[in-house]
Amino acid sequence: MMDAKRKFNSNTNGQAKKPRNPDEDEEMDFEAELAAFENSEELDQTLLLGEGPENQQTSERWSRPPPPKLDPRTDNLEFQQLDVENYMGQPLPGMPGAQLGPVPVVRMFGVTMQGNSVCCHVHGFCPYFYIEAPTKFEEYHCEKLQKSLDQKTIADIRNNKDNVQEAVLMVELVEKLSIHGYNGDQKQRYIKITVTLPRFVAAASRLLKKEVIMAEIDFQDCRAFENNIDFDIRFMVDTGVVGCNWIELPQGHWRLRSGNSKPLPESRCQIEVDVAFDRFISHEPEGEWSKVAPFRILSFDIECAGRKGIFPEAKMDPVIQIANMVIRQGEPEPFIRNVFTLNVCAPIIGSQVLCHDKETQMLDKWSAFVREVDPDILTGYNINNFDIPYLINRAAHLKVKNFEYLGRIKNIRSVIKEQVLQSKQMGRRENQYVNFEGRVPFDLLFVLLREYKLRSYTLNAVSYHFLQEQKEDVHHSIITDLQNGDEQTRRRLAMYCLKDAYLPLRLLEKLMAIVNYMEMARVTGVSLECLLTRGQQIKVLSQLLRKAKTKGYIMPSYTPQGSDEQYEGATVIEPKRGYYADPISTLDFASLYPSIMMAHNLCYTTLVLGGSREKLREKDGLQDEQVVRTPANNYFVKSEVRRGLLPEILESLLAARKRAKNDLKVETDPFKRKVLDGRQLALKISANSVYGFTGAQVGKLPCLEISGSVTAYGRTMIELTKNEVESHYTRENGYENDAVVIYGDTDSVMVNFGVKTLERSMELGREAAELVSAKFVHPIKLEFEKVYYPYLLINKKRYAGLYFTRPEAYDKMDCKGIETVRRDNSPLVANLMNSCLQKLLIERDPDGAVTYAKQVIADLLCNRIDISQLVITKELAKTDYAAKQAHVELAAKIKKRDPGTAPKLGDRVPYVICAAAKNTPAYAKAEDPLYVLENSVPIDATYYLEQQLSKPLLRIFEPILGEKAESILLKGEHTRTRTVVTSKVGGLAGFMTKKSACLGCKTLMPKGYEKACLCPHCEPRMSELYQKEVGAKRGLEETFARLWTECQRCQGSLHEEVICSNRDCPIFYMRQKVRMELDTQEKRVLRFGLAEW
Amino acid sequence: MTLRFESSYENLSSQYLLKEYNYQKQFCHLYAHRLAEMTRLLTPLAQKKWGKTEPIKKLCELRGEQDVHCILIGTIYKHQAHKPSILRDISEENQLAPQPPRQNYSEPEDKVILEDELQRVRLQGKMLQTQLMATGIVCAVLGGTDNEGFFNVDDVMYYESGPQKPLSTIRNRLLVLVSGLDQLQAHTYVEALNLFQYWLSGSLGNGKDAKSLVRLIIAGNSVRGSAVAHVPTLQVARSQANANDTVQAVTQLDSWFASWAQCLPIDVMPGAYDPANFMLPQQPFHKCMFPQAAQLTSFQAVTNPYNCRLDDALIVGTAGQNVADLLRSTSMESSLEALRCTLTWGHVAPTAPDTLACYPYIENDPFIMRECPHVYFAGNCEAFETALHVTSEGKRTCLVCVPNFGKTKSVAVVDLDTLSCRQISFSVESE
Repeated sequence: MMDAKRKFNSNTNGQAKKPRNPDEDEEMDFEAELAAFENSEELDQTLLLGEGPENQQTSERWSRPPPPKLDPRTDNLEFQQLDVENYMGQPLPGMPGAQLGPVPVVRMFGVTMQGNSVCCHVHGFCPYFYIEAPTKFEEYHCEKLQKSLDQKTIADIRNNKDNVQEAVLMVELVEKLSIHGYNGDQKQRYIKITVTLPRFVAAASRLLKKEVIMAEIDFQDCRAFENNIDFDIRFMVDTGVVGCNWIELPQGHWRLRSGNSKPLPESRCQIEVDVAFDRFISHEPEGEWSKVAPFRILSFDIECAGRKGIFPEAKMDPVIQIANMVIRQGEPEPFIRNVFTLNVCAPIIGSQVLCHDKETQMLDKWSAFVREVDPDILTGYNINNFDIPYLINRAAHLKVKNFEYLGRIKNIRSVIKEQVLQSKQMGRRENQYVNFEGRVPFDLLFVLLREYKLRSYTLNAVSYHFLQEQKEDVHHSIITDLQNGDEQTRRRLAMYCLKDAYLPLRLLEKLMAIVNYMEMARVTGVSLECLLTRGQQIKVLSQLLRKAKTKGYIMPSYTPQGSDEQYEGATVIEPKRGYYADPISTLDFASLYPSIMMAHNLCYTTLVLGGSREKLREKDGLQDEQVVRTPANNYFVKSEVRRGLLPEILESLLAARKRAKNDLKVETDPFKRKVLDGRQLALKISANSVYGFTGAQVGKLPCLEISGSVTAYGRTMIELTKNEVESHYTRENGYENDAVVIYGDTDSVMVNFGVKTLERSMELGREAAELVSAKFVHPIKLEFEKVYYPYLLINKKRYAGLYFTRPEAYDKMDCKGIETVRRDNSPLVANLMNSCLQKLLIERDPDGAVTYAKQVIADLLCNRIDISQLVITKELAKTDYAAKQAHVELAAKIKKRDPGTAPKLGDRVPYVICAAAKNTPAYAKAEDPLYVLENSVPIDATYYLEQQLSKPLLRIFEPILGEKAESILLKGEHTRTRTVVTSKVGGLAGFMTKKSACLGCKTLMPKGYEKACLCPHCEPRMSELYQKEVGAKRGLEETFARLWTECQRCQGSLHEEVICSNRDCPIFYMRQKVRMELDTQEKRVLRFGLAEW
Repeated sequence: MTLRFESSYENLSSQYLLKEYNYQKQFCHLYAHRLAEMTRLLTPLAQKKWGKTEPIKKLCELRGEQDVHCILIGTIYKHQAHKPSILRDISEENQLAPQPPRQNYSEPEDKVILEDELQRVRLQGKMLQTQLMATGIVCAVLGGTDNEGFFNVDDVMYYESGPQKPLSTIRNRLLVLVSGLDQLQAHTYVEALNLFQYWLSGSLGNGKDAKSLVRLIIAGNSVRGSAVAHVPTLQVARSQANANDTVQAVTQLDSWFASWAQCLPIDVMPGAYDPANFMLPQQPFHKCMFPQAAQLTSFQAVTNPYNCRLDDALIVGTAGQNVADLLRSTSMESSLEALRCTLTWGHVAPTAPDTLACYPYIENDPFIMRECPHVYFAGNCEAFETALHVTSEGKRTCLVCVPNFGKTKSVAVVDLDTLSCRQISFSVESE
């Protein structure tokens, strides 16, 4: 991983290294790790010099390598672009397009292979759209329409402060095909209207609909085409630029901006150039051009000194530290590690510590640092919604001059905007968005929210989940104390801050997020930033537009209507529930929906719209056999008549995936392998989202005829497969048993061939897949993929099994729809489910699983379950929910108790459900786990048993135990014993006086024995009872020692107190509980008197 | 009681006796006191050894500069990938397939880190025997910083257990050390125990020798010799072990001790698996457990670790947990080597609290060896081993790995005058 480590390994006398689980490998001491980072380059002590938003060259380590001398007449310039955007500028003489300002100019930002940053202005590309040409409209009307529309559009501008003199640039009559519906190959006439600025697309098409533009021709009923396409997408589609691809500016066709050129450089990039939109080469990301430039990723984290009990507010609470890590893509370790601190901070080996007396100075230097490092990608954890807006607001509050100039364009400030993202995948999210012209904000939290379903998204939980590392968590209130301490306490804080800046980089690396996203951008053609900030649809739209353009199709614009039209979803064969101890073969349709669309030529362009069939037959001579009727009663023309666009897109995606997979097989370079793997994954996801695009009713172009037909085909195929398999594999035909399809869903069918061995079930599975595949149209293919052995089928979409792809060993335990990740459950549920499933499937021990479940239930009722297992967590999103909610009520309760530690808006509130009087609503029973521990508040075991455990438990055990499951699991002998804890607070606790009881028989002590430990009756058993108490203490002592030393290790210091309050850590509550229990137990032991001799 | 030579005795273990308990404290205080006291002890020695020209520096004074040559004093932290971790044990991903605890988790990849009051630095260098180092040692290192953030060690210095009081030769006095009586398994070697008893009383024809036996120290695991099997569950621990058989074993032990105490004074220490507390220092057994033996003044239960002075000989020893823990976490191969190391390091149990459970002391570290003992033993070792450890200043210490009686049927006998030690076997099995 790092230099130091390599060095270390080389000392091992050529000893073979033991194979180690890579997951548990890197959990070394963070401080030592930082120290080991330090490489041979001289540690830069140069202070940041100079001020102002110009790029300062203060440190060789920070700055990019100097750019080569370039001559546009003889040199080509190649760079990988990472960001494409547009702005309003003035026309540049000699460039195409409108010659009167303002005009839209596209800006591409990128990096060369040598690591120099590039800003490329692309001139002359104009926005346009189409409308249907009215029948009376002729070529000679064009000029008149242009003039009239131009005037109306200019008149329509509210206040023409940009002094726009030209709005509609050109009107042409063109022949195109509408993408929507098959109407023969006869092209239709459309009017292409080219305008000067992107905003005039909407304005002009509105005016055409609403107003009289030409007296003699009415445009009101003319359908508009492609007037809802973003300008950036339009540009990328038309010039063949895809996200993150390589751009080449051939010699003689570009201009270099420099100190005295006209126009002057506007950006902070090292190389700034101008080019015409039709003069550059956009390389397809294939072969040599699939390489990746060494772009710079800056990960940072800030600490604020908040006031007790209040979430930091930028107007009040200072920023005290900013930790930064900068890595070059493709390198294993960051080459810049530093921390900006307020007040003096002791040095940290391996990281540069930059101390500042004033907060304004620190912010100013940090902003200059960002400009100097010139990162291409900004990352961190929740930077979009916290760190970045906080810094900007804070700097504005303190009036730090020039702070907001964080982007690459010299005169553009980064400002905060609210952004709402609505997507099917993630629901509605309100986000803050900050512009950084030329730099892509790539918040790791966003990536995780998009790609992974986790119980918790705190950085602690995430790093534990993916890196198996706990992270010290310092409570906000302590941060202020550390800041107010001395240079050493601030150093401690800095270590913590640095780790928070470093972890996102490690996670990005581990999850290959940047590589995967970059490949996705290349495959789908949208920019990197789009992928994080927009939904799935834009990706399909971009591909569809590209394909349509090459074939002369244009896309009608569609206004989403609140339509409730539904089509039938995928089919599910009624599951034959049960626990199958025999192998179950699974037959899967490979890429089912894409292959259906390809096989049956389903597309917008092949759809025969309702009623037009007759017309087509008469006019175009369309024969009935050239049309296919889908099971959903829609008609599509066959591919001999016209090949659909969607099938072509899918074909190229799947072919590209196949290529990537083949390349992956032979590639040996680990980084290139990652790129290829990311690529094939991106291709697969993209292929699958095409179907979704046609079904999205609020989308750009929904087409239920397509999506409905796809699912209808899917249904018939599943049915057909079932029939084929069940009729072929019978005893009659000489097989061991009659095969039974026990379940089928969407694209897979589970078959019980009634054979006993894995080998045989795999053989039959393979054979059946071939047999059935032959019945389907190419490329639909049924594949044999896996055998579940054993298999627990609970219900539709709920099953679990041990997954075998080869007979020697299982690949994994596969669980679908079972409570192992649901976030509103306590960990107890997930853990119990997991253990039971492991016993059922891996150990094949149903009895053991039942016993185990009973044991845990007994433990729950006897209060032997660790409280961390019972904690439920919910985010305090707002305080005024309509219905009362447990976590909101609890937050209010804690606020009354101690405003200092009360959860704030946005915090996650952990709670447990406590016992209370009968009929107390659940929301009133929530309590803070720590409070519960400290005051021995009894847990509502019944709630956990009935509300949390019972349903999922019964679900997995019913197939095994049948009807009796409930009585066996939830009502058996093991539920009879219950332990009731007496609370130290509430209820009658105040009225109770503690009287000493005998430690042997628990009776109250008789007179004269109040001080003794045992009553006269138990006294003879003193040795035995003493040993019992000491024995109980032993266990607690061991646990105490193991827990607290673990925390001491995790925090990376032996001599300093553990201050971590990471409630996500599985031992957080345990270590508190064991303290209390040990105190109590010690008191019991001490009642026997000290062991004095 | 047979006529014995008189010998003066002083129990020096009061520092191990706990009168009040506070489990709200953390382990950092213990480390801090250890470092503070050891730094005070090491500073003059380091200056003497390496000369006053080498400055003693704190890590925070180095300010990340390179090529500074100096002395550092700090606590060792050894980063080990496979160190037992409760977090790993309970991690939900692998809760049902727990990895069996490794017998030894020392690896060449282990990293040695030096931590002073405030900061850490990685150590490297040929002088540094990484695999023999352990967490919790306090030492002084001479060396220089480099540009990779390492401290390159030229020389290492330990406290070596401080000064030693001179030992005057009086006459023939023998100390008997026994451990691992494992009463729960004793039914298989009752004869050996009987033989041992006869030997103590001098009725094996060893009357002259028996007179010289001045004291018997029973170094732990008298009741139980091995851990109770753990059942992994979702809970922290379920401590309801079947207590009945141990209660019986304790009763039996009581009668053995009562009869042995007729012959000579006995000190009985608790051991790792005995019904006593778990953390070091283990507190003496309660009187109620040994009602017969407790009536004799010649019998007492003592702490583990245990320090006492017999005439002028300082005797220090443990029931062996310190040595066993080092054998797990380092590449040391014998108990004797581990025992010798702790003497050199000047600390009875450096791996406490890291991997060896110990009480969270807040005001001192009782395990520092401030005075060099004459006899230093560890109980419950696989085999008998002994060596006379002589330092350059002429300190002499008899190191004894007391064999496990249950397994070897033998005891160790130390001559307090010559500081020589031998093994006596009571095995009755025919070869």
